[in-house]
Amino acid sequence: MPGPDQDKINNALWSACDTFRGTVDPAQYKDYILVFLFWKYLSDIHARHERELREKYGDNETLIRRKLERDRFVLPEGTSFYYVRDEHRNDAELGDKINKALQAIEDANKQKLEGVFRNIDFNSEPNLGETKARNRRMKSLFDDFSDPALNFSAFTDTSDTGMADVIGDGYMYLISRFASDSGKKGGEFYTPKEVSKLLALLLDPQPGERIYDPTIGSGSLAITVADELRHPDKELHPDKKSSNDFAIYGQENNRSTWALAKMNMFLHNVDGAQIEAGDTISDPKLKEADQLLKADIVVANPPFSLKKWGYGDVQKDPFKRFTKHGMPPKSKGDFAFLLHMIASMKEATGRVGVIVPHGVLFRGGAEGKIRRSLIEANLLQAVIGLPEGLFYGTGIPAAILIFRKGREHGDVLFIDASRDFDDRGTQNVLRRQDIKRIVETYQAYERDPDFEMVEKYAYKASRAEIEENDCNLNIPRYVDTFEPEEPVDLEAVAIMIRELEEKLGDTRRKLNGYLQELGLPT
Amino acid sequence: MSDNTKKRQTTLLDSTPASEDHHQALAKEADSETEERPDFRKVKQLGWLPSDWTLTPLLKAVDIASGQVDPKKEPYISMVLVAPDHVESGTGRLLKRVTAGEQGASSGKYLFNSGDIVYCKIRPYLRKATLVDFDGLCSADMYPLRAKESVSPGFILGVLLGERFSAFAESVSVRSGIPKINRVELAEYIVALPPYREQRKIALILGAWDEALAQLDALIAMKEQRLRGLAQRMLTGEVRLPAYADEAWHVVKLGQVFRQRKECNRGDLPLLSVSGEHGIVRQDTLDRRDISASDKSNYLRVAPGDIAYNTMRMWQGVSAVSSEDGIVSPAYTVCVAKKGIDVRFAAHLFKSPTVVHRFLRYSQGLVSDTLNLKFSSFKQIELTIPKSVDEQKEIANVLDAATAELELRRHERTVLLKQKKGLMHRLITGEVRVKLRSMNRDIQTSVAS
Repeated sequence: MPGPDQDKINNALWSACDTFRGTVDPAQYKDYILVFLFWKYLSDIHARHERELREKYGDNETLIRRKLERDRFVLPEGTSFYYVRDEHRNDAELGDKINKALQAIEDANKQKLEGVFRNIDFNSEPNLGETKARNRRMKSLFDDFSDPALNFSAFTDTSDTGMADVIGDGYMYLISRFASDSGKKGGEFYTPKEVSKLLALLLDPQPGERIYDPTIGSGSLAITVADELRHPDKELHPDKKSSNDFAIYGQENNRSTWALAKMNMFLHNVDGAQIEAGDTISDPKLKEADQLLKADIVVANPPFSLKKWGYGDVQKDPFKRFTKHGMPPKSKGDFAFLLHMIASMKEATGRVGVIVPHGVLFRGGAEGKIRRSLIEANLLQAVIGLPEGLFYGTGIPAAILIFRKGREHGDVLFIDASRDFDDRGTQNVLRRQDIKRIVETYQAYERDPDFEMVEKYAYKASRAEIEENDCNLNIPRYVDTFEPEEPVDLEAVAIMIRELEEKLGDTRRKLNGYLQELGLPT
Repeated sequence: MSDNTKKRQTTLLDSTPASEDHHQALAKEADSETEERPDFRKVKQLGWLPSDWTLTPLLKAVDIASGQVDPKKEPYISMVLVAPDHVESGTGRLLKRVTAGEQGASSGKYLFNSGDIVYCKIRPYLRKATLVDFDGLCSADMYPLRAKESVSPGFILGVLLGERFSAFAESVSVRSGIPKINRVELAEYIVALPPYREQRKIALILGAWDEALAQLDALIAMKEQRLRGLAQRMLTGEVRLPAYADEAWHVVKLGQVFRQRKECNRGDLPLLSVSGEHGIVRQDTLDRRDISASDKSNYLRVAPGDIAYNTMRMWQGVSAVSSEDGIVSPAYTVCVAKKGIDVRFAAHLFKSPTVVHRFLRYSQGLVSDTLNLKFSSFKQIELTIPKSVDEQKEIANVLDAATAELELRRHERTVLLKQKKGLMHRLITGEVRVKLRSMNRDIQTSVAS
């Protein structure tokens, strides 16, 4: 039997949004759609297990119950999508019924889902309209999700992991669509999947490693990095074996985005993920023995140049994140996130991959000092300039910075990848070949001590050279993309000039002839 | 020949493009009841005309093409498609030839034949018309006009580019939206046609001026190439002046040879404007609107011999040397040459593509709109220059001479164009009559009839 059709699922999901589109802001309704999808997935997978168990054990109800209770999750009696749809769809209190069902699911799966549904209210008048309109919308949602394309229990031949990926990818698809659809509203937390993939390939996770995203958003970046372990890219990392041995950590400030991240982890079968809610800079939650959690891979797409990043809260930072390299300026948070990430790197194996606006590469003042300190500490490994228009909600070009511990040399790789992309109207996209070129160049620089440069694309700068540039990391200083002009053939030009002067002389004589003939001054 | 005509003829060489004044003078003449002009008659709205010229509505002299073709199909897709942009304003020159396929044309176009006039009907004040010598397509914003038998297309082109027709086209086209002249309005225009042989002779004469202009354009292009080639070789030391062949060149940081001038509060000095093309000039000599701030206390002083560059546009090479004392907007950076550099040499160097690219590499900003080259970055840039300032001066002399020559040629073109316009006006109004004796010889040596 063929596997589930991702496109069909994505289309069905996107059309389900029509229930809200036009009348409700995407930032409002995206959570409802995503929660419904999550609920539907839980209900379908539960129904399938129950069916399979019944086929196996007949009517041994006790055994079936016991087995179901040992599932990845528990779906208490009367909480499934189908039950509420069939028993309560015409209730005046439909929204309340949904709320109660979800709350019961959360309570029965505290360890994995605690707090996930707490912020979503299907009975909310401000978000969903007055009772009548609200109930109509809910009923319509039930209909949308009853689409056979969204019947996840039908995929009997797929393993749970494979199926979870399909749903999880559908989930990421929706999040990315909301991000692109609504610009910054609800999209600010989403890293385009091609950029996530690029970071994953550059950071090259190894079995047993910890992956930590301090601004985890919906979790897609961390999941993509982990996926590089589960399903390695054989073309770019040919010797890598599949492994499920990793741990994901993350923190997210926006409560409803945090809930999305939890659900997303669940959907992608990442059960051990530890996702905390709260502000990473002023209140880091991931700790070990009162120290910051240390991870092998620290990856993030932090908000660009955040103004209120918590400057006042960290003047006496107990974790000393801003002591060694300096305090970021009050008005821009880029280096605050960067320094938090660097402080969270494990000794020896730790590496950071972070997306930053270009200003981070050259701004002076406090930021210039931090930059110099990081370079002198020999932590910076690579600076990669990306094309503009890659991210939702902003047209400005971003760069990837890679830092790592335990570097032997002081060289830094600069890549100018700003010209390699697919222009898709409003949004630019990295193509497979663009990602490949960046990763292969990075690998060449890591493996080959004689690597010097790739003409008009990449350059290995020495520490001395960077210091000569006053630790300014502006990519054009290092990667020269100059296209020299064709040399002018002065001999040919001289001949042409002579010929033209002669011809023009003849013509002028002709003009004068006419002027004379007309009795006009020549 | 009347005294009047004589007087007008003697002023022909410095004829400003047939001016308003001139028109008024003509009209005055026509109105003057006392004047007697043998072989001329006075016509309402047209003024004095040779008595053997006939009056014809434009549509009796030309046919206007109708019916469009699909430029996505052969043979049309491989044909040259003329668009309004491709025709030079006021001169009748076709500037480029690009096929419909190359332009990715999709909507319907008109087909024209060699010998047709392609007239641009939108924005008539731009005066765009050209006589084509090939079969091709034109934009639906243009009309192909085909001269009837015994009408010379070259003469009609002269009429269409002339003052009187242009004034007419502008007056009927002033409507809401894009000014445009339509078929009916075109048809209404009354043309004064000389006898056919005279029309052809006029076309021949005007064609000769077009030929000269085309040759001059080609020459200007070559002189630009020569300047570029000279700069390529002389600013890099590839070609050395023999007297300095033994003098070394060395690497300097711009900070060693330039310092920044930051003098403010000089509201007493004139406001200057810097442009990539025209150098530094007084703002009040420009057509441009003065958009400077009313409070000029933070405007920067530029002294003669300083280089001012646009901090946000230096990566595109916008810099120039000042020849006078003045102030510029704080959006500029003012550099004063120290010992070791000749400022004219530096000005040429700052225009060379290699160095402009260096400026780009040292400019920084989030997007190209905000890229700026502050003096702190400028001064770090390393360039290789002659150690001897005298050699720098000599190089600048060569390049200045080549630039000056180019400027002269450009000026010559402007003058030649004025001459053509003045002549055209006199010929198509009959104010100056051609002689037909040498006609046959002319026709044999020319194709532009």
